Amino acid sequence: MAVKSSRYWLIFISPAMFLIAVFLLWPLAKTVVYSFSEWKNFSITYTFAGLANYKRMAADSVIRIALKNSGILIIFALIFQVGFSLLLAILVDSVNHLFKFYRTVYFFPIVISGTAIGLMFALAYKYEYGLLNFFLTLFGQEKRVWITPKTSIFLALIPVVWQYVGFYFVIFLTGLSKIPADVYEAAMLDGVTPIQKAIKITIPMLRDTLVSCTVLVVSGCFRVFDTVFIITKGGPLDSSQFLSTYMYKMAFENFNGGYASAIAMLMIFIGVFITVCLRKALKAQ
Amino acid sequence: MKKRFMSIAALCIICLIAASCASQAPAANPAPASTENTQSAPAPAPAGETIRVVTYFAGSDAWAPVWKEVIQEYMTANPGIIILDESQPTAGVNDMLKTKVQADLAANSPSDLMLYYTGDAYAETLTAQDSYLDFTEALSQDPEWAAGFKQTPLQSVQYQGKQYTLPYIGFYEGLFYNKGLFDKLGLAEPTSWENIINSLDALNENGITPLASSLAAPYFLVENFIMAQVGESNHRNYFDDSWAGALDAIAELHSKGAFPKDAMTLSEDDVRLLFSEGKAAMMINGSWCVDSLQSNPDMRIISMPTTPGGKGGSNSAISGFGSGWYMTKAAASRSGETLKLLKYLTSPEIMARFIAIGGSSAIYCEAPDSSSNLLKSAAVMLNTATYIDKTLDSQVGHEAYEAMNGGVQYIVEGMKTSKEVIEEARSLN
Repeated sequence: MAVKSSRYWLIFISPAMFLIAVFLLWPLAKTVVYSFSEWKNFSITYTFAGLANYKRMAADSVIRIALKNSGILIIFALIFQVGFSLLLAILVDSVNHLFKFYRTVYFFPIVISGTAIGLMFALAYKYEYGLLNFFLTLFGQEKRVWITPKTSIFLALIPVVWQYVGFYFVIFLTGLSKIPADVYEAAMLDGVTPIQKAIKITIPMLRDTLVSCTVLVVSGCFRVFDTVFIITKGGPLDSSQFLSTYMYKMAFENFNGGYASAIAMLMIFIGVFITVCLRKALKAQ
Repeated sequence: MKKRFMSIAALCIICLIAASCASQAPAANPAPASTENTQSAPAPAPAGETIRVVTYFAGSDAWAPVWKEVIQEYMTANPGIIILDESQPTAGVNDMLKTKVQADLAANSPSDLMLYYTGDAYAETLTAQDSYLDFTEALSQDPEWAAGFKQTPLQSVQYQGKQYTLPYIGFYEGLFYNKGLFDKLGLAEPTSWENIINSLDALNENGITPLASSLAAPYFLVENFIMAQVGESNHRNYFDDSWAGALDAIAELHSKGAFPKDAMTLSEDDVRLLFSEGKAAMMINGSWCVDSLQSNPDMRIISMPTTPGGKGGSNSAISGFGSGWYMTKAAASRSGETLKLLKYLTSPEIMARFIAIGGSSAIYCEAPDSSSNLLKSAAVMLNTATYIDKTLDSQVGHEAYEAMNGGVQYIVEGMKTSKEVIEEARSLN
């Protein structure tokens, strides 16, 4: 009875509220303010600039490249992180031997930091001292420049997509373990083929897991930073910029905190908008 | 039993009191080579103090090993002092030092002592928060320490008449070239634009990259080409239309295959590696590379030769004291330990150890043995130049500087003209 009184819930909730207010709400509020300001060099002073940063953003061709790249990443992530990891999970779930081995191997990349993975791939792509060109020359082929304006986005996305396949693979495995065995047994008696089993039983019964993974994948695409930054730094010719890498460039290389804040606001808006739309669309189905 | 418990408790309390008294005792061990003026001693130092220091002596930086030795020696000689080395590398595509310092400033948590860039653009940023000490008073209180500094560099880093920074290691930039490679192929040394252009085909045919440079971070390239293009006449006329010629000259070299094939993504570390391993004949870089190159007797450095229609060349050079020591007011008011450490670091003995690696000194100290051909050519370069100026990044706005350097990729690919890039940078300055 006493626990239900307002005094107690306030005491229990206040530490979390304090942390959220200090580390989330206050910085968010400041970002909103800075996005409408001319704030450079991390100075303590800033001046109100109205919509100037947003107007600049509308005319900035790099923003369009970043949005296009985010779109490419979402498509790749949905195909590989959701589609491929689901396929892997179904295959591994059906094997009788080495189940734990496969689960560990596929999950392993997720425990490596994005920076380390980025560095590993960056070293592989190098022209003069890179691993790929080492193999080319080993087989008598000419060395080639791997990271070009046309290829940079795809080469940067390979490790990004690869790293998280294992994460969603484990989520799908957990989902598969929740499907009652008697459903499969009944289907087996009806003579169902393995493909029919996957399409007509497993995937429909994993619907909730699929929805969660899809939302996580899409919202996660707007947070990609470390791996891409290490491999290409958004270049060459800004061809592999994402909103996150471009925001970093504006804030910590160009020292234009106002414009970087406006880009951050765009990231927040798009992230929230797509997540809400996706949830509504998938829930409606 | 109760008496025994009471005795142990009393003993514990006595120990705690004794420990707390001991922790308030002043430091007993002096710093080596300290020139601290005892008459102007600030607040008494606690026995244990952690001093946060950030420098660029990290990663592949040539001075990093000396720096580690020096601070370790200081901590050994001063047992109560812990130097928290927060140094960040500046070489490479990304300058981590700038990022760290800016992030610390934004969080209002700057390092106590900092070796950072000088110049109005940086000073304006750093002094905006009123966190850094004006050394004028500290220098006047310790004439012996003040007399150790050379006056020209000391005055050159002042900002609005105040001494927020103390100059340390000077630098120079220029065109490094491997004389041995040019001699081997019977090519004239790259002392003129024509010689450079005429050597490109022969170098490429022999599998040697003519000019090692990154277009992902073309800062040294752009700096030196602008100096070669405009010389004294327009170097301080920031983003003047005459600067466009320098960017066009870079584009011309690119179109003639002067740069590495992966110049668009090449890192600064790889640029140095290409040149030092003899895979590239020329490189535009600075005095921080001298230590790793001077063992090769074929290495030389000259000012970037005059670009087509230019006014610079051997009559001008980029040199200066682009970095210096900053100290926070908070560290100064906390105790005298940070200033004591700074005096140790700026003593002639320590300075000489850094200069033995490369660069020029802002402090009077024993000159290192400069007998290598590379160091001799550097001395000739600086003595020949009638106009010497520091780098542009310390003179113009960060965003404008980045826009100009970032625009080089677009110019060489024909996606923007040099005038468009200069105009864009000018609008951001």
